Amino acid sequence: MGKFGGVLLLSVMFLAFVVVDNVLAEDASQVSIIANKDIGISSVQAKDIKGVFLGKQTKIDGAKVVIVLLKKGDANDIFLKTYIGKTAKQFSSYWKKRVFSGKSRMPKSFKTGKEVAEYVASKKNTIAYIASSLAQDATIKESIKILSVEK
Amino acid sequence: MKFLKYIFSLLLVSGLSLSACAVEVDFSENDVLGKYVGVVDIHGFISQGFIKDSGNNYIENGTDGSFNLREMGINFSTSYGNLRLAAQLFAGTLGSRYDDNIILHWAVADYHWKDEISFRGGKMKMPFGLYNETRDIDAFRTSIFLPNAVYNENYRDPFSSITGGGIYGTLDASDYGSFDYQFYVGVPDVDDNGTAIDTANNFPMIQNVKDFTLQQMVATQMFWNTPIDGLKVGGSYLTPDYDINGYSTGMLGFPAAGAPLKLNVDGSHVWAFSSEYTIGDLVLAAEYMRMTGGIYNGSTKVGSLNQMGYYGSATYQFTDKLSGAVAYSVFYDDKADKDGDKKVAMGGKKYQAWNKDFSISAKYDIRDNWDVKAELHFVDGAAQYLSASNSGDLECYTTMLAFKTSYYF
Repeated sequence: MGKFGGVLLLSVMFLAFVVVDNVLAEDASQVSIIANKDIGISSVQAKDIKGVFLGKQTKIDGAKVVIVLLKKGDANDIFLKTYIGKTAKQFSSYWKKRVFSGKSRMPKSFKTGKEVAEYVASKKNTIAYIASSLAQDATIKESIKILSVEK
Repeated sequence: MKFLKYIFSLLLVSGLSLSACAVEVDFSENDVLGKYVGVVDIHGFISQGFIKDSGNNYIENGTDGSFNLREMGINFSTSYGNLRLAAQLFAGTLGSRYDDNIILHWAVADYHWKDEISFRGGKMKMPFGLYNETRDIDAFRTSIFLPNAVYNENYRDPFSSITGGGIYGTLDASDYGSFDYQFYVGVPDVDDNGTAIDTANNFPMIQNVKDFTLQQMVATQMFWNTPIDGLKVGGSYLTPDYDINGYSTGMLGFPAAGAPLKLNVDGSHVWAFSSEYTIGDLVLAAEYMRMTGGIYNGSTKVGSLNQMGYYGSATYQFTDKLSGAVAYSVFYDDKADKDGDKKVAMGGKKYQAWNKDFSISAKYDIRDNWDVKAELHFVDGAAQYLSASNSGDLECYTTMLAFKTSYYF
C-alpha cells in the first residue's frame, strides 16, 4: 500500500505539473511582447523579460530597452503571471515601493493595449506587452515589432 | 516651521486632489528646462492611524488610545540620460515622537552605468532585511506595523537612511537565477525628536540623553533570486557604531548620579538573513536578525549588545480588494539571557528579556489608491517597550489594536 501510495502521489504531482505547464503555455500565447520597430532585437528570452519589467535590466542582447506597462486587464494578468511570477497587485506594489524608496521612476503605463501599442510605435527603444489578438490587428502589426519569446 | 508645514500640506493636498494617479509636470516646451529636466514625476501619500493598547504602551503614555500615528510624503523625480535625480519630503508622528516635522526623507543622484554596477549618492534609504527601505510607507503592504523583532521601532531613526554613496546592481547567474546587491558607505541621520534618544535612555547606566550620534558606517545587502520562481533569499549587514551623551544614573562603577556621562557603542554588527516566497496570492516571509556590539565608557567596556530576533509571516490576497496577514515575531534583548535571570539580577522583571508578538492584519482597498486596515497584536514580554512611553512598571502581557487609512498618488 505504501509503495502504491507513493506511485499514486508521484503520478498526481506529474499530472498537476503537466496541467499547470500547459495552462501557462496556453496563457503565454494570449500575450505578445511588442517593441518599437527600430529596436535591435527580434527575439527575447523569458528571463530577460522578467529582468527588464522588474527594472533590474535595461538592455537585452546589448539593445537598450524602456518598458511600458498596461494598467490592468486580462492581458496584464496573464503577462504578469506567466513572465514575472506576480499578481497585478503584487506588481503594482513592487513598483510603488521602488518609487517611494528612491530606487526608480514609475514606468509609463496605459489603460488599454491600443494606447500601449501607439506609444510603443512612437517611442524608440520601448518594449511592452499587449493581447495577442490586438497585436494581430493589421494597423498595429504594421506599426510595431512583435518579438518571439525563447524559454 | 509652521509655515513650512503649511506649504508641505498644501503641496500634498494639491497633489491628492489633482489626480488619483501620479502627477507629471512636463517642461519639454521650455527651451532650457525641456533639454535638461524634461518631465518631473510627482508622487505622494498620506496616512492616519489610531492605536490603543492595554498592558504596556507601544508608542506613548496613556490608555485612551491615540491618533498620533500618521505619515505623509511627497516625492519628485526626473532623469537626464542615465542620470536620475529624485527627492522625497516626509513628515510623520509616532506617539510623542517626530511631531510632524518635515524632513528630507531621501534625496538621491543615481547614475545607471551598467545593469551589473551603477552608482548612487545622497541620502538613501537604508537597505536592511526585506522591507526596511519601505517601512515608513505602509500603504503598499497589508500590515500596519512590520514585525518588531527585525524592524525594531526603537531603532527606526538610526536605520532609516544613510547619507553617503555606493554601488548597486544585478548580477546574472544564468540558470541559477540572479543576485541583487547594494553597498553603501555613509553616516545615518538621527532625528533628535525620534526613537533613538528614548532607546538610549533605556540603558540602565544613563539618563536624560541629549545627543545620539552615529559614526560612518557600512550598509550592504545581497539577495539571490533563486531559480525557484518566487523565492528569494539574502542577507544584510550594518556597522552602526554610535555615541550617546547624557547623565549618569549613579549605577555602581559609574560617575555619581547626575554627572555627565558619554557612552560609545563600538564594534557593532547588525545582520539579517531574509527569505521571501511568493506563490500566487500567498507571500511567505521569514527573517532572522542579530545585533551585537560593546558599550564603552572611555576605554572601559561596561556592557554589551547581544540582541536576537526572528519572525515568520504569511500574507494572502483573498479578493481583489481584501488581503490578510498573520505574523509571529520573537525578540530577545540578550541572546544569552532568554529566560530573564540577568534582568532579575539587575532589578528588572524576567519578562523584560523577551517580546513574543502574534499579530493579525486585514487590509481593504476602497479604491486602487485608498485603503483601510485593522491590526491586532497579542504580546508576551516587555523587552521592546520603552520607559519613555510607560510611566509605571512594565507588564508581561499587552494587547494592541490599530487602525489606519492611507491614500497615495
